[in-house]
Amino acid sequence: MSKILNTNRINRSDLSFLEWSVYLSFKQMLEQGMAGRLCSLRFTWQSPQCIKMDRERFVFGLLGGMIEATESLGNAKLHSVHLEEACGGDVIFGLVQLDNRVVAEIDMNQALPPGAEQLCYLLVDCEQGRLTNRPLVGHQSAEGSLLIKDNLRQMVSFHDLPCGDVGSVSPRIKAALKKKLGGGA
Amino acid sequence: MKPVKLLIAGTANPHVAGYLRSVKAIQEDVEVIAVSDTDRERLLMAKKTVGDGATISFYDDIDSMLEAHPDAEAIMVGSDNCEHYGMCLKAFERGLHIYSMKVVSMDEEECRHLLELKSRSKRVFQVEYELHFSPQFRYARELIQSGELGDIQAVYFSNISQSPICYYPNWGVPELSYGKRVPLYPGAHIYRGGALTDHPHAFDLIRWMLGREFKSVRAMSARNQRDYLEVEDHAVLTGELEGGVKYMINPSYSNLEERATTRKMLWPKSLECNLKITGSKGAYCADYFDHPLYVLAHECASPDRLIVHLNAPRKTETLLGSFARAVRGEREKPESTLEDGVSAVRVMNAAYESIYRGCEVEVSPSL
Repeated sequence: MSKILNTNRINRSDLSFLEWSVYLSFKQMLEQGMAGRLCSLRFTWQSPQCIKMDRERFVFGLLGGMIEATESLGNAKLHSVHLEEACGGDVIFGLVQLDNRVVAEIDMNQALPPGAEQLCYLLVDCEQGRLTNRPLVGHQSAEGSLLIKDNLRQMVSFHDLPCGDVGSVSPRIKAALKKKLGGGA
Repeated sequence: MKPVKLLIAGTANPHVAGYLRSVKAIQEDVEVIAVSDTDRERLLMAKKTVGDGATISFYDDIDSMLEAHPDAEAIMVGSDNCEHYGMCLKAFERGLHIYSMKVVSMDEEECRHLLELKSRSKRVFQVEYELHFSPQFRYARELIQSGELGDIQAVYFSNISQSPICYYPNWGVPELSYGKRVPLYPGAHIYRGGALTDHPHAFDLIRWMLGREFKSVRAMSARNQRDYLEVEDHAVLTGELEGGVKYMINPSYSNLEERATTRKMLWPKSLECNLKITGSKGAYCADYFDHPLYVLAHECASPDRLIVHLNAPRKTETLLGSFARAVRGEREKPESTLEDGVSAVRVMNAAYESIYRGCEVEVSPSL
């Protein structure tokens, strides 16, 4: 069976989470008071399983980095963490709460088929605004739904595109086109 | 099919206005014959929304409406959440079929009583869960139930909106939305009845798509983005469903809005409703607000600013269509039942309990 590997995005960086430019930019913006007081965070990491990290990097490097980033952006110490694991530990859902009730959700998934894109998003929700690197619409799948299997990466649209239904066009328009372009309907 | 003669009791729920705007479009399924509301301003707004040309009567209380319309077959319960139970009791007493806005009631004792009444009556009881009719989520359900994605291992769902409380102030009163004043956590001056109560979709949708009940909930609620709110504007949950499937759900008001008395949509999205499912054979993700229309227009609801409109797909079936067919015996039961509504309430209350106690909470198998 042929495998589809999405090659649109290949991550060649070897940065720790706390060196990630998006995180650093948002940290600076928060420090400048650009959007007011921080309230909650959303971290998203996804990757195809075929290029997944080993457990140590995934948990202690990436997850640990996100928790540390939460403390740093929230400017408070960790109060509690709750983790749920699936897919043999390749999916982690995490909730993090700081002493000042800043809360972060962490959605990490490296159990995806080869056609999945590797991506990392951060949403920072504040009293007066939002900072994010997530695309404005269709953040997972451009626009549409996305079905990904070992040998399939399919955009699924539920919005009909117009088709060439000759019968629905008025005779007047058809006559004008016939006069201009020839042919006949 | 003969349209079902429908009363509308209360217009406090924001979705009721949509039905009033489309009384002609829905007339194949239901004939709206009367509307009641104890709030004079809301009743006037309802009359204005319906406009001229529709023969609908208006009343300032449900009892007068019930008395004046012995021919009514069904009732839409559209009041504040705290009044749903009382209105449903009156409807059962009159033998009416019930179409309830969500949530049915956040009081599980009231829910239990309604389930008992429902089991003794032969009446249809539908709770309005419109996401069942989304083609994206119907397709997700097909993928799951056909085994196309293999064994489902994890599901993520976000149901994030602006806070509606500026333009629907009743939504921010804990007694009206939750039914009573319960602090979010010990010593809190924020109370239950906000974003979590407002987003039962998420819990219902996951049950409906996966056919699995919730087993455990760990929830957290961040400090509010809006310092003027008495109810929570953020919540996020994770835990386990039956069969070991892990989930994460975010039902928050994290999209900020303008403090205006009428709804203003903001660029880029006022609403977010994203689904991600991971199975052993594949993954599926869907954005309910995909394929948007971009509108910059002077006469738009949000004049002269770029906003995103939902590009509504064709619907093969509607909420009211499902209800009407169930009333006429053409369906065994409506698309979303009282049992579905109550199941979502139980998960939401478990989430509130988890936030209050700061620990994981088990969801009891049944009421």
